[in-house]
Amino acid sequence: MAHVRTQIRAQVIAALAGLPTTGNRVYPGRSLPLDPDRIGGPGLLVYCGNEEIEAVTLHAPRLEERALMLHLRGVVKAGSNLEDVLDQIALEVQRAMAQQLPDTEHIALQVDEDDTLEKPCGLITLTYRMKYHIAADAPDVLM
Amino acid sequence: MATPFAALEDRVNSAALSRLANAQARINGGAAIAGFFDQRAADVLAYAQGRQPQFQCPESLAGSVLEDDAIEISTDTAVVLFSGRVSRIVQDGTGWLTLSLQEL
Repeated sequence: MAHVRTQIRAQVIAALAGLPTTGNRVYPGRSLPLDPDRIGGPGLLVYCGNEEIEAVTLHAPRLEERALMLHLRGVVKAGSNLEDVLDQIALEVQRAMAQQLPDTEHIALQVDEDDTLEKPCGLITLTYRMKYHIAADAPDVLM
Repeated sequence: MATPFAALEDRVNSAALSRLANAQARINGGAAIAGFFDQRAADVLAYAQGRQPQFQCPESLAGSVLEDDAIEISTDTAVVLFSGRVSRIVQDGTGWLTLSLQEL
């Protein structure tokens, strides 16, 4: 089995696929920039970020409590309604996460805009914290 | 009287325009203005990609252009390359304007 991080990422992608604004344009761990006009509309990038790890037992193998940062980033090109589209993505993502991954905690939202491309462009990044537990010697098994 | 360097700038600008112009612009449906059209690929905000359309022309030909003016760029054979608005105007200080363009 894959690392629990990979399993969580797959769960998040499944939860976010097919949303009205971003459709199936959901990309895990993409390192290249994307052009919404070339993929058919606004897209969503899903990243598993840093983790805080705390041992909660003393004996080996230790039980670890991990707090994973999930970054969900919408990428939009639009005209005068850019902010409305970014807000709509936030609405749809927050609903989907609350319904399908209720144990995640929404801890930050960041908006960035740029006006130098052929259309105004914006990002909306929703950051979630997700706690999970694993045994130190079995990082592929969610406890 | 123009200084020698200013006169040289004028001659270089004139020669560059007559030899190298690759497109013409019509601003608010006005007369055609020759210049350089470019829309290079660009990445912004680290995660987004697109084009940065620009038109460069002599300030003397387009000095009255304003932000949000409508602009159409075409070839000499009237093939439309771009249609949209002027989003930003930058003077280079030597008599040329760079117009950043956006689609409507």
